[in-house]
Parts: sequence; structure tokens; C-alpha cells
Amino acid sequence: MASNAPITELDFLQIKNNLKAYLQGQTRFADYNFEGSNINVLLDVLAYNTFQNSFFTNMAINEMFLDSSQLMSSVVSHAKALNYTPHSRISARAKVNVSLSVPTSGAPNFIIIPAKTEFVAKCGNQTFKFFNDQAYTIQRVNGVYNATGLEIFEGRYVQEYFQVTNNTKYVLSNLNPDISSLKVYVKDSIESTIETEYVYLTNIFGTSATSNVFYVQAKNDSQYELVFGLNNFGVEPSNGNIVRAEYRVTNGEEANGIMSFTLAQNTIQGYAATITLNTQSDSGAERETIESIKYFAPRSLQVQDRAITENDYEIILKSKFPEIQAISVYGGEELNPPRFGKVIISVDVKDADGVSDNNKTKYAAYLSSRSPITIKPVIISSEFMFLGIDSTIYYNTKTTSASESSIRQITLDAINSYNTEYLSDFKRTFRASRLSSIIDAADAHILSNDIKVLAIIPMNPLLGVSNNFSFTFNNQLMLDHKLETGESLATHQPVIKSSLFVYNGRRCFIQDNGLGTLQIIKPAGVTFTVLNQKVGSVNYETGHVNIKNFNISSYVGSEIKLYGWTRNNTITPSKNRIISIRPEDVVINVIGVNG
Amino acid sequence: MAITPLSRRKNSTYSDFHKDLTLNPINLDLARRIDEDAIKESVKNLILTDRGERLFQPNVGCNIRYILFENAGPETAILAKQLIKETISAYEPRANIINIDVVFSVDLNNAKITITFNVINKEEPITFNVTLDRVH
Repeated sequence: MASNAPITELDFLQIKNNLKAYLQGQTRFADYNFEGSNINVLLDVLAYNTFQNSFFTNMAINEMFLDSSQLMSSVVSHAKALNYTPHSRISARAKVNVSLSVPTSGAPNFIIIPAKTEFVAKCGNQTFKFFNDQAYTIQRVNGVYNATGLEIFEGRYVQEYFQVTNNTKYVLSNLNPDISSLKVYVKDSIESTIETEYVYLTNIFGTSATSNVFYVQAKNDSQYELVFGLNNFGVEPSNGNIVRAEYRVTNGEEANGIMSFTLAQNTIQGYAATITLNTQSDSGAERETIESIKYFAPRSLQVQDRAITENDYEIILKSKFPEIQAISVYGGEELNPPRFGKVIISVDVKDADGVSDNNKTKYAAYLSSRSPITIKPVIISSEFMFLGIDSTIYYNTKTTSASESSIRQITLDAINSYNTEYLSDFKRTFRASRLSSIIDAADAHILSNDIKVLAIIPMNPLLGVSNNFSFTFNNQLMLDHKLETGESLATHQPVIKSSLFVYNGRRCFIQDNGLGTLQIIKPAGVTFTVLNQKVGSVNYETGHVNIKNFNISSYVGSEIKLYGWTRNNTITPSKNRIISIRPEDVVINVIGVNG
Repeated sequence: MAITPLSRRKNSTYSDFHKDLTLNPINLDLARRIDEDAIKESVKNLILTDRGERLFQPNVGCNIRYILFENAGPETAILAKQLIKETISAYEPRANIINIDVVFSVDLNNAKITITFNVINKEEPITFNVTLDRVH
């Protein structure tokens, strides 16, 4: 009798073969090997049954563990055991300025913009509704009524009512709620006119049997459920009570980046209103994904809702604010000069340039109750260090008829994938050798490649005023590249050089003189004139650059690029910078080699 | 339906049970089809199985039933013979086809298939009929 019982396979044919092997141990029925035989049909049934059981068992066991579960409902259930509530969709928020036209006769001292005033925003073909969640009072100042920075949120408000019975489940029926907007009120009965507001808590600290609080837990695939304190950690509504839940239903990240808003009704309290943009919409986010829950749920338990170590800050901010794409945390004592008692949090937000003041305040407020009393979190926008890549690709023309442009595209794709996989985040290091090997491996016909790398710091000076810049390349820069008298621009390679700008009416660039001084140079063919002998300085050992009284009238492109020639091809950015490669900074030369 | 006597069991090369799981009336054990009987049953099963019917084995079967809805001419008969021949060659290595006849009965809306084959290593030809009727 064959010993390999068909219980370990997950493939139908393998199971069937195991059954056939098993039948080899008997002589009574011999036709199991022939597809047309009756016993073969019976083997099909047995194998299918075994296959189904094995598959089901495999899937069921997978769903038993957070690491291997695939279904949202299973992942949510595991997260619940870790006291982690996956975040819901989050409404995009924007700030607008409202100006009211009020006749001078009988003008009131103030006008109230009611809560839930509807604003309309258009983005392409899509129209979104935004509402202010709170009433806003506009005071009359010098006869005008202006509201600056009125915060509005995307989505529509809905209300759900639950009549409390012995086994009421308070499951929000809508699949796309913004839980941060959730408000819950309880009244004694349908006839009652007095409602008590319950407060949303994420943990039971500080609650008592008489606290009017509620909790939220994820339910199944995409729903949320209200939970009350069972008269131990909060008041449990009793039979006959009416629970009213009010929340926003949102389109999430689709409403990010909108810059134009109007009022749905043209007036506020009967007065004509003009709406202008203060801050474009951002922070809208989708519901938390399975991968994100798997990552954050165990770490959230580890952090215990406290920000002590660098990782704690990263985890509690990223899990609470899904719009945060990258984050770097370091102590103020690491700064030069040191800022003791501060923790610096450099944040990069999705689909936005920098972090709005509104978000900075929001992040700092969230952290303040979770970090030690003596430590003050300081939120700053992330900055970038880009890399200029000049690569020469040698490919074999004997083995391929591919054009130079297709090899160039393959190389660019390889560089982009390197950028996505190894860079584009804080605390990443560029290694030229790794990029070089990735380019070599991108196509079998690429024989070799040479890469030259320059670090790029972007500068956006204000025009027509003096600007000061102080930053660091954070890497040692090349030495002994002194600009000799009479030397031509064609032969001299400076360590620091900028893109073009207009200074005193002339197109110029910044260049170092090899002795640590930055000068403004006006090129004229291969010769040049120094227009400013010292606009700043550079330290070749630390990579630190200081630029002072930099006053220009315009510059080429969207920024001035300051190129730095590093001593090594392994480049590590400073803690507040994200290192990245942009396609616009990549030059690819393709050379065909015969053989 | 032939019930194989116990005395023949040990000498049979091929053995299968009956499609309806008929019992041996003497010992109430499963009755068997053996040798030519078993192969005949197997060939019949293959012809009457459409492709896709068998779990996870989409190629097993003959797909002959659809010819009932084709014109009842000589071309269709040739096609039917071809399908049967291919199926038996692929899935019944014990049978060596000698002849296949397909006769359409227009009045009865069916096709009578007569297959003659011999078992590999045996010379005696075996002939049997299969009638294809439309289901609806």
C-alpha cells in the first residue's frame, strides 16, 4: 500500500496522482490509470473533494494570522485584538477667505457664517462639495467683513439614528465615512428634545461609568461600529434611547489639490460673498489598506500611543495622518547650533509642495499630548537633494538591432526604478555602484556604463531682494579644483556651480573659486568675468554652503540648481532632506559597440 | 450486464467497476467489468463525455454531441469519425481502432456510432454501438 496519502497537496492533479499511487497497492481494480474508466471518474470526485478541503483549510489557516491573512475582515479582526482601529477615508480640507458685501446702512457688527455652509469646488470634470464644520463669526473691521482662513471639508453630512434595544449594533451603514468627523448624540426617547453629546475616545484612560463617551471599531470589510462603555468605561445607552450619529461621507484623496471654490448659494445670510483661495485642498486620504494595517497594527501596540523614540513619532504620525508620505525625526541637539528640548520632525506630504501651516499645527497638536512634557515637537517641511546623473551606456550592436533611443529609454526606466526602490525617502543613501549594476542588468545587450553624479540643492530666492541661504550637501566635496587666472570655462570644472540667473541685468551663475569662496560669474563664450567676488562660502570638508545678500531679478526654470561635486559616489543627504533623481536631471549618452 | 464470475478475477488484466456500482449477487461486493468489457465501457465513457465536463481536465472528452445539430451529411460523419479517433488515440491507449461508422437517423434525430477495435496485444475485434440522442 502506498504511503503517500493525498493530504498535503494543493494541486488537483497531484492529489489524483497520489490517489492512483495509493491504488497501486491493490489488484482488484486496475483501470484507475485510464481516463475513460469508471474508477477514474470516482478518483476525480475524491481528488476534487480532497482539493477543496485542502484549499479551504489552507485559506482558513492563512486568515488566522495577521501576517498571512488576505481578507480585510480578517485583518481588521486581528487589528482589533491589538487595539488598533484602521483609519477611515479622510476628507480633504482647504482654507478659503470670505469677503461679504454689506450695505453701509444698518450694517451689523458681526455676521455669522453658519456651520455646514456649502461650498462647491471643481476639479476637471468632477465637482465636490465642501462644508465648514463650525460656525464662523465675521466681525466688522473698518466697515468690511472679511473671514480669513475659513476651514472647509470635502464631503456631505449624513445622520443615522439607532433605537436602542437589548442587542442593538451601532454599525454605520455608509462605506465611506470620515470617522474624524463623527459626532454622536443620545436622547432618552423619540419624544425627548434634549440630546447629550458623547465624546469619541480611542482608549479607556480617564473614563468612568458616568463618562459620556463612545469608541469606534472597524467592522467587516469597510464599515465602522460605535461601541459604548457598558456602564464601566462610559455610559451605555439604555433601551428606548435614540442614538444619533452624524458624520461626513467623503471622496477621500480625489478632492486633493483643488484651488477654486465658490458658494453653492451666492449669499451668506443674504449678503453677497466673494470667495478666494487661502490654502488649496489637501490631506484627503483613502481608507487604510490591508498592507498598511498589517504594518501599523503591531507597531501601534508597541508605541502605546506615546512618542518617545524616533520610531514612535514616525509610527503615530503616519498611522494617524495617512497623507504623510515620508517622515524624518531627529533631536534638536543634532542641529548646528543645537536646539535642546526640541524634536525636529521633517514631513513630506503626498500631492503637495511642503506642509501647510494648518497641517503643521495639526501634527504638533496631536503630538503634544503624546510626547514628554519637556520635549517640544517642531514640524518642518521636508527638503530635497536631487542628483544629476550623467551616464554613458555602451551596448552591443552585434547582438541587437535595438535603437539608441530604446536603449536610452531602458536606461531611464532602470534609473527611475532605482529611484523608487532605493531613494525618494529620508535616510536613504545613493550608491553609484548599485545604480550602475542595475543599469547593466536592465538589458542583456548593455555591455557597461559610466556614471558621473552631482548633488543638486534647489534654491527658490525671492526676486529683487537680498536672500540668504545656508544649507549643506552633507558630503565631502572635491578639493584642488582651483580656478586659475586665465583658465577657460571649457576646461575648468568647479566644485560648486549653479544654473543661470539674471544678476545686475546679466545672465550669470554661481561658481566656487577652489578656495572656498563662491563668486558670481558672467560667462562670455569660454571666458568669464567675476561680477561678485564673494557671494558666499563653501566648506569642502562638511559640504556646508552659505550664500549672503543674493539679490537677483530672475532665474531660468522653476528654481536655481546648485550643483555640488562630491568627493565620493556614495551620497548621503542631511536628515531633513529626501534624496531623489528627477528625469529632468538625467543625461544619457548611448554608444553602440560592435562586439 | 455481465457479472464477472469470481473464478476469472485473478486472470484479468483490466478491471473496473460498473457505472451504477452494481453488486456481485453472491458476495455482495462490488461487481467488476474486466478486460474487453472494461475497455468498451471506457471508450463509451470517453465518447459520451464533452470537453470541460471533467474537473480540472478540460481536454478529456470527445465533444461529439454538437454534431447532432450540424447538417446530417457525409462531411459531418467524417468529422465525427475524426473526433472519435482523436479521443480514443489520446485517452484510451488500450484500444486499437479498426473502423468507425457513423449513421445519422434524420427521423429519430440521432446518430448511431459503431466502433470496431481490438485490444492491444489481442487480435479479436470488438464491436459496439453508441447512440447519440439530443438531450432537449
